[in-house]
Amino acid sequence: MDSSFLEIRQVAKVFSPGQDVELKALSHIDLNIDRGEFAVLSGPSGSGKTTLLNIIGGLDGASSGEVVLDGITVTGLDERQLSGLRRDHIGFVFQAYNLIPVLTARENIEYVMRLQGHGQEECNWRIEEVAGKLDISHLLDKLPNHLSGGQQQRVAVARAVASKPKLILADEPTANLDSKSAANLMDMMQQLNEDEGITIVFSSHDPLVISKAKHSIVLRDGEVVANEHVR
Amino acid sequence: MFRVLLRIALASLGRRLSRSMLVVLMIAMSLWGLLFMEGIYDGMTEQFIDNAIRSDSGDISIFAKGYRLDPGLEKAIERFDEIEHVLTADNRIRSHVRRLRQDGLIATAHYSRNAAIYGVELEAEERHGRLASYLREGVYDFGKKGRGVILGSRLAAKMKVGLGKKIILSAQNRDNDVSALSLRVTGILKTNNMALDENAVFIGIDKARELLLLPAGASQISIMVHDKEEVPAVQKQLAAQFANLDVMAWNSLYPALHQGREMMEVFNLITSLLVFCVAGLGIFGVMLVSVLERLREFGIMLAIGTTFQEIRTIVFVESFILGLSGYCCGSLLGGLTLFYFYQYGLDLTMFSAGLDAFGMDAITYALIRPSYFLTALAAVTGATLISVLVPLRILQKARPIEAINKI
Amino acid sequence: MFVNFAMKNIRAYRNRSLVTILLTTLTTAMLVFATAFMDGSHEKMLQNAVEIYPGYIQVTQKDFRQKPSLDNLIFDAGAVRQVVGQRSGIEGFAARFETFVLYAGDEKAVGGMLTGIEPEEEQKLSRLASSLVDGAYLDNQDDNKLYMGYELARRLKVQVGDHLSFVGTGADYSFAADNLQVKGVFKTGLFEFDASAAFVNKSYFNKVMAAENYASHFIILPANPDDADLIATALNGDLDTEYLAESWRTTMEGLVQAMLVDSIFGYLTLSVIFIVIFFVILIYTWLTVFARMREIGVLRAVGTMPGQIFKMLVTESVLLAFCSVVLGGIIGAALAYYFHLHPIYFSFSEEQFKQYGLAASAMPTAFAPLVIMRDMAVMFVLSVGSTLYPIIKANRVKPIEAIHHV
Repeated sequence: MDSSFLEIRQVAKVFSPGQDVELKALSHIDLNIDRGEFAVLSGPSGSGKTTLLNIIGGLDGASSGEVVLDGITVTGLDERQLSGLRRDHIGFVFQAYNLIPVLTARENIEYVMRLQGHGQEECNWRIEEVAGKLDISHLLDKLPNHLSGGQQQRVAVARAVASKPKLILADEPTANLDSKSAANLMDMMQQLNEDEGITIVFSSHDPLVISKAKHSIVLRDGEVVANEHVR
Repeated sequence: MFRVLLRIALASLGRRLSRSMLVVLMIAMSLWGLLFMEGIYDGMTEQFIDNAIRSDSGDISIFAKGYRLDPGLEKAIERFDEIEHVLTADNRIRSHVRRLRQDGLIATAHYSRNAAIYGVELEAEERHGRLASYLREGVYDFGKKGRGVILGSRLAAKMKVGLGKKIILSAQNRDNDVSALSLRVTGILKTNNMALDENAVFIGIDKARELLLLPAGASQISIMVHDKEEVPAVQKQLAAQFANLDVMAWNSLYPALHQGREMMEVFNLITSLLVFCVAGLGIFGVMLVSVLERLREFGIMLAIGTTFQEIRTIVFVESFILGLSGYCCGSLLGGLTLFYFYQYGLDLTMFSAGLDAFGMDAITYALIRPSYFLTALAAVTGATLISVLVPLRILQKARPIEAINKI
Repeated sequence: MFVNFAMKNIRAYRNRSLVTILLTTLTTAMLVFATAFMDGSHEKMLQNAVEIYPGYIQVTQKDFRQKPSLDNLIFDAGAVRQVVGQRSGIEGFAARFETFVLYAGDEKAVGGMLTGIEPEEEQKLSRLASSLVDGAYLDNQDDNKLYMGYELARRLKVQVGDHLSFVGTGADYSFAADNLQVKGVFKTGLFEFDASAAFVNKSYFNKVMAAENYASHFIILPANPDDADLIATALNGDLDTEYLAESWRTTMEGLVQAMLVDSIFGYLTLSVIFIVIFFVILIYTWLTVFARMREIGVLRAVGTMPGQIFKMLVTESVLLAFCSVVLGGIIGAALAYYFHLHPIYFSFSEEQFKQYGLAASAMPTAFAPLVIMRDMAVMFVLSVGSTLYPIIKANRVKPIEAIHHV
């Protein structure tokens, strides 16, 4: 059996179906992503990158087709099971960082691990490890609004990584960052991909960021127009 | 321009429909409760007063000088014709009746009790205070020979007498001897004027004259005016005209009821104030958030040439629409509820023993006064306007134009 | 973890926390105090009404209450006396014989009540003796000495030392009349009572009214007034079926119910105020929860279960409600305790109290810890309850919508 780590089969998404303003966001996408890949979804605004990432992560449902993650059919799960899936197997990094404002950097990172039921000692150890890799050890006790954008996004990545997910989904992680911070963040994510063997799928329209990917998928108007392994 | 501002205000409220509805609902519910409370409580208070006025004091009562403090036959109002002439000539006065009263004893074969014997003219009393409407049992009549007697309900209950039963009335007459009459119960009255229900024995005024050996004169003249507003003026004028008599308005005859009415007014006022302050706090919270979350939007409007006054108008209009919608729903709901209880009354018969102890009617009819709705409108308007003052200040200080470039 | 998280949110969303705490505290204090005031004043009014004359427990012939005639008297007072005397938990008891007579002074004749009492026993049971304003109270050796109400004396125009006569019916339906001398005048504050009641020594009464060993009722003072119902029930077991013991709850049913009606209207008013208050709490919760919509979306995105979000938000409400209810409870209880020791004096409504036969204008509040806890629990439930709607509503929003919530 030649089954990939992440299979996307005939996934389509229509917004406001049956209404005058019906909008086809994705039409019949077929994709395979292998374990340990560092893949990028690129394409212009409105090409469906975010929608596809949301469907993969179970944040949004597909109108038709299915998504299978490591043998689990994501598109067939209910809300509760989806929450569990995201908690145990998927890490999210958002464009707008989306850290919990009332929690410190450390608590933000710790949060998902605690949801998973890890003990304090284990959490501390893992936080130190991840923070070291992302160079945020000195920022751990600060609140998000005391951090720069780049720092916040590194904390967000740490939060996604710390719980040891199988897959990290990052939606335009560098869009709000200057080019230096962006390059820096991408290097770190690449390192994590190699060190921890986590599959990372991110979206971007920044050529500099796109060039770091090993697997490049280009979307336009909800369709895959290019799908190639770079290295 | 105002139409555009109005459209913006309406659209903003519509965008947060659930939240707007919550505020409207809050105002409507509080208004509903308040109106219901005011109407019922006022209904109760006025019912007390109405019962006392109709059954006894009238709007104004005339007594012989000093009678109130030390009642007795020697203190009867003389020259009744002269007084009647004045009362009939005054077109502010609707009606008047005279009564003859003496304390005495009511007795059956088994019991006896003290009683207040009232000699009255039934037809005149009916025209005067619709006394017949208080009749609970029997007929509103003393019979052909005037040998009938109508008793207060509690007195009848304590004496264990019913219709057709014979009673003996005895009282001190004009010559300071005790004379007695034998009469039959023809009716039982429940006025909820406790003093009457407990003690009153109504007989024909002629029978009373016979019993008390008093051919002329009256103990009390009760007067009703057409317009209650004129009570103080009429009372003053009559007092001046009949300086040798005591002319008193109902509120000095029943100070407890008067006091009760004033206390109720203060009580309603405090409750309303409290409710509207709290409701204002609710509107304040919503308007504050609504202003803060639209800083960017207001910034853009300012940037393209809207004046701050116009933005202020939008905010005021929004708040006012919320208040007015709540007011309309609440008034409608409260008005309908009050109308129902005005028509059918609030039936508290299950507590009748308790209500009796207070001298309250088992069924309370609500009052509906225009003033309820007017003061509520003023209060709602006030609360909505005041509650946006702080958000507007914050808006002005926040310099929304700078917010455009923030995320 | 959620408690910690909730604490941080409570601190971060200060407006909502302050409004919730302020309003819930105020409401709790208000309810606790209002209940204490209503219960206290009602208890006081009832206590006054009961203790001035009627007494906590009365024993009558079984038909007397329905038909209080001379045929339904207690004809063997000695037997009742013996039974009551053997029951424990009773502080004291005495027989009375009530009848209506016509009093005649020099100028006036007025109908009124003439009651034979056992002066020395009665002194311990009711407030008759302590209501003395002029002259002296009766004693067991008195003969034709009268102890009369202030208003009655005024109406008859007699004073201490004056003579007056009465005409009435004896227990054997015979004509009874005699001359009396005013020994003392009392004023209980109950206008009706003061205007119609007068007392003589029962041993004298028995002679003129042919009422030896008769009584219209016994009054009984329990050692602990709260046991009145229990003792009345027990007495009914001890006494011959001919007799009936009833506690004040039955004999004064009207007044008991009147107090209930008063409480109902009191709570009605409070509930109008509470509706608004809990609406405001609801609205503020709504505002904060929706301000945090994005955050909730993120929490859901990273794998928090809807139930966990619910738990977290409810934990916030519970913490806020708990603190405010405790604070409000303490304030309310402190006020209740203070006014329990220092009764509130209502000089301005004396007329009204008088009209309703409630001879009291100093009202202590009740201080009952259990009732206070009950009110606190009610407020806690209402406060948390009023936050549930926004919480449930927010939790229904899909994570993707929540993240994009503006």
